[in-house]
Amino acid sequence: MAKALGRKKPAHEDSLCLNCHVVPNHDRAAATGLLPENFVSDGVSCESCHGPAEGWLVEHYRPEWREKSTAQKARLGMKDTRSLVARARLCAECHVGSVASAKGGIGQDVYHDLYAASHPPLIFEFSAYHASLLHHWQDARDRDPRFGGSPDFEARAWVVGQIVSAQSSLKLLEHRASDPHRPWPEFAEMDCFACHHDLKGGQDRTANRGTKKPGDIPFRTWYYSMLPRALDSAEAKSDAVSKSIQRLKDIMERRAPNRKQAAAEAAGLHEHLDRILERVEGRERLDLDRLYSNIREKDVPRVKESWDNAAQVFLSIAALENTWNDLKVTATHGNLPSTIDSVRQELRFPRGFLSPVNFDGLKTFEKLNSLRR
Amino acid sequence: MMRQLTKTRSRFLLLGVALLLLIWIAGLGCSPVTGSGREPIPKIVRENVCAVAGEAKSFAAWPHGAYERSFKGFFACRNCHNNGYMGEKAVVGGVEVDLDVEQWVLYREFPIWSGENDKSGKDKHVQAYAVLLNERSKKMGKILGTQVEHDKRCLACHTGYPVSQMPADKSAKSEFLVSTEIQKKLDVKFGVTCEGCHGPAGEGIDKGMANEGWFAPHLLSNSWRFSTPEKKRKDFGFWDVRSPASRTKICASCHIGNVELGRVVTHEMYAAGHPPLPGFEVESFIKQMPIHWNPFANKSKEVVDRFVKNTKDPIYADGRYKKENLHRTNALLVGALVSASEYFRLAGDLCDEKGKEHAVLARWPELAVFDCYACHHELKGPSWRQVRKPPAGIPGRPFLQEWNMVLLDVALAQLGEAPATYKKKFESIRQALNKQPFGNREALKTSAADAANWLYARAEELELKPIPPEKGSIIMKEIAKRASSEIQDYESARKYVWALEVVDEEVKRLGVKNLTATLNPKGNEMFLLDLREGREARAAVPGEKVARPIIEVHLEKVMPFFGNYDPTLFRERILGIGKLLK
Repeated sequence: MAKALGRKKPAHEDSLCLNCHVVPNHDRAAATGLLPENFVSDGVSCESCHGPAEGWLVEHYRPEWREKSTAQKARLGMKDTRSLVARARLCAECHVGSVASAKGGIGQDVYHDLYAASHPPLIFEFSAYHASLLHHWQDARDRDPRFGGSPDFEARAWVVGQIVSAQSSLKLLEHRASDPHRPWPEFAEMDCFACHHDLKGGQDRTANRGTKKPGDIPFRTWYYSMLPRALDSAEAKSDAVSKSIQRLKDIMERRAPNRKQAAAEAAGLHEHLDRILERVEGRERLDLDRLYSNIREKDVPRVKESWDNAAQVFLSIAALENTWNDLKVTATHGNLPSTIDSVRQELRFPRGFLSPVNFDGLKTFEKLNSLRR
Repeated sequence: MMRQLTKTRSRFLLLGVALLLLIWIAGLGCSPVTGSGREPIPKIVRENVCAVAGEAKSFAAWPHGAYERSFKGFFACRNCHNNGYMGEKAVVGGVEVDLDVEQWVLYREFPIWSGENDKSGKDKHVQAYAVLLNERSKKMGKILGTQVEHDKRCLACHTGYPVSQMPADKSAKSEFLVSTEIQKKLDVKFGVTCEGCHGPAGEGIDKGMANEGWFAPHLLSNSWRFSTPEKKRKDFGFWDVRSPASRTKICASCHIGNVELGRVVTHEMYAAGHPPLPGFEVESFIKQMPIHWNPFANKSKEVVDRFVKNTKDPIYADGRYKKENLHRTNALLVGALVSASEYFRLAGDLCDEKGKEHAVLARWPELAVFDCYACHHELKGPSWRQVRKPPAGIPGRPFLQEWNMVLLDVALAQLGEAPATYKKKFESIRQALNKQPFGNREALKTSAADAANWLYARAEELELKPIPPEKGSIIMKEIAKRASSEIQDYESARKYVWALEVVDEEVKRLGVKNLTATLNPKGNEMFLLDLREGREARAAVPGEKVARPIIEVHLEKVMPFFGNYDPTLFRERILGIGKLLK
């Protein structure tokens, strides 16, 4: 990959890669000489997420530590990993991407040149990734109100993850659009599989894409597909957001998308989401039945349009299933587990492929449509 | 009875056209133009055409007088070019000859092209219009929001009749629709007819144009055969299909594209269902036409000698022509240079707003110019696309269709020093493309146009440089070597295979059986080499009682070749050929 990209250093020494594969803003840290020797060989290690330990290493095991506020801990360099929003932001920094914290930094960005050089695709959904991680903490506390958690943790993680991922993606889009040194149009902002499929006969892929003209490249809506639903659950009005996403889609789907317009629209939207996120945590329990009903009514039909939509809908329902399992209420949702297994097979990339070769939108829709109340 | 009628007509024609002959010989050729009420030629076509009218040989734009003449209609051609020449003896080069015996031309062109007598040999050009009425076209029309059978953007290629001479459909909201009256014209209903490739044979339309078309002179003049192609073009609007360069340019105008003539398949059309244009190799496509002429290799010694002695055509004059030279190989290599030239010209022309005036309305960037399969492939890990050096230099950047650049080195090597110059010009194009995804518009426009002009000039040089038979094996080895030196994509590899077949047929080194058995073994085919294969269907053409049988592109059979293609296997096979050639 390094050779294909014309990089001067091998990947394991290049901050372009280490900024995610070791720690965000590795380029800045390395420049200050604060990184210990061989730090990189630990990959994403403790301090990559919990923050540089210099200020809190000898403090954090003392009894007084627990009385400190999050802000006080942050001042000493320890990042908040307890709050869902903060957790999601930490993950999204690498798994979605982020702008460098200091001017002139490389940031954390896997863009299309890197994909073409063989980087696996970034297809992130917070609750699913979080559930797959081996938890190195007392994760029962995530579900325990006495420790600031909630029994509907999985659903909450899904809601927060959707909003945070969308915000991170928009910030990245704003940066990619406004930096004149970055390639534009940036293909990583477009739907991967709209282009990346073999040409076959007898298909009409133009239907359901919503582009102005057939053959226009659709905007990648992975991070925005279920955003309105997540906002509804968090009791934030989603109309303005939906309209903004549509405007962004219109801008990005032009043959030569206007950089300034794209940056402005993305900026407006991620700032709006910021204000929503300030209110999201600490809510009352989510209305899971209403969420499920809305997904089935409003989002399942969109599954026909693209793999992205189908996979996001699938993951939202999977998160709900996990939540109901936690709450031990699976009995009321009939064929949900078997449907989920069946739909997972529809969405899978076949062995050796990184694209949904056999994805059939109609078939997947029919399966999800069969979900009973 | 036919013979009688022809005799009567001949006498009448002789009388009537004697007058015209006088004018022609006197070199006046400036009769007042009879107004015909046709649409005026778009300004930009006229400007471009006039700009090059002064140029002797190389023309960047389309030949002078291309669409400023009217069609005579193929029924006029059919009178003679049908079931043998039934006229009286002619005097050619001072010798009285029976034209049917001579077989300078076949006089059976019409049945060959129309497939009247032999359905299996039918030229696809005759059904070009009819396919606009099949199911796929109807569906395309729905998706694109138009009626393809009278949309300029489709008719520009699917009929040889010039769209600039088609009256607009005044009742339609769309600027692209032409009047349905056009469907009554036989030269539209029968797709690409004679004048579509040989040039309109009728009188000039605009004021100031020489009135005479080429119909009468080619019929009556005893020295027409020996005249220079340039004179035929300038004075009568006759398009030279004998010169490999000129011929390829004509074919490429549809098979690759030409903005000036409104012949562009846009990505929007592809998305709506238009079959992908296959990589173009002129000699292989010609083979599959089927040919409706008598190749020089088949003409009698007497006929060839008479021609060579009298002709002013620079390709054949001055002792240049020798029967044993490799003519088809030369045409293959000249064709490669011209295809690349036309492709670069297309890419460059699509960079600017010129397209708007030619009813092309391609928006920048026009995705169809770039390599389809660079994007349209399943994501595999690992993939040969990642193993090889990215063609653009930067991974993931859209690049040009690589098959256009295949064979250029081999062609230029025949001219000596040219390869280094080409590399520089190509590097400019690559750099223009790398400035940003899809390239920097201004830089691409300039570098592409420059390369296009240069390559066409080289093509005209090469067609004047015969290839002696002893070079045949060397050329084959060169082709095989280059094919194996890098990872080739499907269209590039296929072009190499076609090229080897063409050269080998002339050089007779391996035998086609050996060649295809090695490169495309039966039961394990890697390439679709015969583009005539397809699916039988029917199209209801207005005014015809019975739906016409057509052969459609069978995409479900054609497209898997691209997805299943294995470049490593191709390389193995081509190395096998290299060994056989040693």
